[in-house]
Amino acid sequence: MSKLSEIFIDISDMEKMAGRSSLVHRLDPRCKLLVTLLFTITVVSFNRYDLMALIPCFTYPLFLLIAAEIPFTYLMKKLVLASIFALMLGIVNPFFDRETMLYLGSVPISGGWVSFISIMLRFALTASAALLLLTTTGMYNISRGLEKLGVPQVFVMQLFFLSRYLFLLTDEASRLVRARAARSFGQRGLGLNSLSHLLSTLFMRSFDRAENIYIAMRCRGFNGRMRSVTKFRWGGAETIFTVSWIVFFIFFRFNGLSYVISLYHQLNIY
Amino acid sequence: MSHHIIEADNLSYHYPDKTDALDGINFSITHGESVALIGENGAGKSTLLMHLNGSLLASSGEMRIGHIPVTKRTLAHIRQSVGMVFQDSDDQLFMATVFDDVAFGPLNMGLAEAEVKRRAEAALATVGLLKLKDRRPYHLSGGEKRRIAIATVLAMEPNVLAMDEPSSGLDPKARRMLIKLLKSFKHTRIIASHDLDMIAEVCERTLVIFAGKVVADDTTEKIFADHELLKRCSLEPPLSMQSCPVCSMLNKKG
Amino acid sequence: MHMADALISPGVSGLMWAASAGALGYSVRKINQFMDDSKIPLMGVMGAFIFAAQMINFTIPGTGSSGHICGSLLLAVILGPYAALLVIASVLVVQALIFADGGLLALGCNIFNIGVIPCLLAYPLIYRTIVCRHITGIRLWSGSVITAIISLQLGAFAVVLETLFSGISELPFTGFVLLMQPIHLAIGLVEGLLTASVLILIKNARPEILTEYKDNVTKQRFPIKGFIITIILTALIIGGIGSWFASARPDGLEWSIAGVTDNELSVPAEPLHQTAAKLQQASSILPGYGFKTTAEANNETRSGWGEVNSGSTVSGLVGIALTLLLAAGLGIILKQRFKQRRTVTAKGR
Repeated sequence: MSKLSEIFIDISDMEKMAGRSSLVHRLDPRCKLLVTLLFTITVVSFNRYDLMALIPCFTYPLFLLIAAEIPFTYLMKKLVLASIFALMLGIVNPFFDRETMLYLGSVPISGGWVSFISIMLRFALTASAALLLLTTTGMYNISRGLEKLGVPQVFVMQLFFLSRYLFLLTDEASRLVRARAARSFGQRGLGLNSLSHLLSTLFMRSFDRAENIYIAMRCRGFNGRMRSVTKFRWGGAETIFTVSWIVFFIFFRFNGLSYVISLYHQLNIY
Repeated sequence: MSHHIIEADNLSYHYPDKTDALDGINFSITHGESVALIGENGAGKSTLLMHLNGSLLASSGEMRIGHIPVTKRTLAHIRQSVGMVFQDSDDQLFMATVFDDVAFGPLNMGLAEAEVKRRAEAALATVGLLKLKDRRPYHLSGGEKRRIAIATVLAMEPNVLAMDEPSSGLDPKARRMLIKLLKSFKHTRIIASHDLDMIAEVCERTLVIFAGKVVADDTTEKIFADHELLKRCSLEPPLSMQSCPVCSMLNKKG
Repeated sequence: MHMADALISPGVSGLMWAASAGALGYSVRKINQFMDDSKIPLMGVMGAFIFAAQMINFTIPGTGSSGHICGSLLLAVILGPYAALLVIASVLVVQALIFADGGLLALGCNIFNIGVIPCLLAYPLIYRTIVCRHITGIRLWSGSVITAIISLQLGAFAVVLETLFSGISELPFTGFVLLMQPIHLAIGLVEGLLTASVLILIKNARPEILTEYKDNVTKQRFPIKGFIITIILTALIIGGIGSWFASARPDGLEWSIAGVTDNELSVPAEPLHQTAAKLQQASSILPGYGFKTTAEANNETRSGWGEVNSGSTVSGLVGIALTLLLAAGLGIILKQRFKQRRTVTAKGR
């Protein structure tokens, strides 16, 4: 099935991007996690009709996109694919909220359309922040960052193994699906019955693999704790990155831009 | 250096469902020997390997590494001196980067960070893959994975290397590199494999396992020359020792 | 169905994150207490398995549309509820990052809807009551199907409530419920059937897998009462505070900033700012949530952070209370049924 192999290629691309060494890539994952979280909170805290306020927020993903040299088309492709749920729920707004809110030239725009556009902007902002976090940090460093931020080790190790064996099992699944498709002579899709056989086969293989991994871990002295020599350092660059974005977010959040412009305007008057 | 002698003393193991996997195994391997375990699928090769570092513990009898019996209490010590290389490298490379994987064992041994780094880099250099140290294991080729799996074990500086099918799934070039690597080691090596040609090159001694028993224990040359024995154990002489089929046909014609 | 950052308000997100984090923390504690470290790689690989399994689509008979297994119930049966919750949560984290499914703030909702509800509520309360130890026959089929349907119904209803209380989408409650619940009835049915048949196949091929982990669960009785009470209390406390803070909406924040600087944002006569000002005005007439009346909404704009807004606090609390009642009610009914049956069988012996 093409979907599985597409995902496989997609994840490898992401990991390759995460393996680059731009300025943003080299930052401590903790500061990227923190800033992404604060950014998302800033975006969702805006009023749903506040279109103008959302626009300056694009500074953040744009900065990462450029600084980390992530291809723009790649991000757009991912966003379009992921947008379905937001689109489905957002598109109803124009039907329920028809009160005219503003005029674009002489065309009246209803509140529903404004909030619909707001939902799509929110989606683009929050989703690109999450995608950029991954493409500039990688699953492995994200889990290590989470560990340093105090997330329990059981959960971190869980994320760790999940991201390590994701490739292998996606690949194994796609081989199983291909082998089945090769014998089904053009019938599209799987029936419930063959899916459950396929799933149980995949399950048992995964189970055995987990057992072997555990034996391999024990052979090299595993005793319940994962250690690593890779150390993160929170240095000057991290502090500057975090503090300046926090300042920016506060600025965006309280409509700093229009405030500055209005101050400027007042100064001109007097 | 007889203190790294490996001894199996009437070793038996049966699975929880009571089927015998190993049945009264006896052998003794001295330091620096390179020994092959051959036998049909299910004969007990892998099960025997698992006893070498206590991944499985004997139901009766004893396995001794350097005169220390393999038991629950000696596991930590045994596992430092017997390094195990698994058949599926993906099971062995569970960390996110090559370097972390190689450093995993030394870190668990409680070594200082500088020593861990030194060992990990030395092990990677031995298998010739130091340049891959920051790579993610899933993007490597089969041969690279296998060599790094060996490096993860070397970093623990074991005296004994136990390997399960080290050459399976490798392309000819990667296989050749692996053989060269295995020949260069000074460790005691115990290799379970179906690749009899590799064994002919790497191991001077061979144990033939059949139905959980050691049915033959001799120099590799002698074992491979005994076609009757090999046939009885569902094996075949290595291709390099079979007469060339093309030549023999030509000979018949001539 | 994943909740998304684009549709969520900070209040709802904070509330759901708190609930999910509490459940996760509890599970981590239980795992550290009762599980040996051999389960660590198993949980991780199971996460990768669920991730891969969710990518395999099948055709829903007669419709031509396709679906996939969600796997929460399957994992709960195999790994026990606590480990299953952790695995599901980590799968959701990875999906949020790789596919931008949901997002970081909505993750709290998604872990609750897809993880906590099936693993910590539906599995111990419903599945174990019906199936007990019999991984065969009618009990397994009915137990799996009923559990899957109920947990997906609750999950879908939670999505509706979360969307509603966030107030970003305009979808009316009834319309949304009528859309979501029937779809998830079908999905739940399929999920239950798949779970049961996969369990039977595993049991036939490798019976030891299922017995090994069953002990994990049965040894330690699930403190249902304590768990529900804790959830209710935290939900009520956070729900109350959360929606009160959420109600001090953007305009409120702006107002307080303006108050601090002692300078109401004056509107210059430029087209850009006229539009912006119009938007601002419009937004204060149409409040996000709470009891909607124009007068009250205007008052709301005047109220700063920290002033309790009774409207949205009440609606927040009512919503949470309703969900919890539904869940708890179902649980209690089922539990009593089970008790009766147990006494009957005991007498029969």
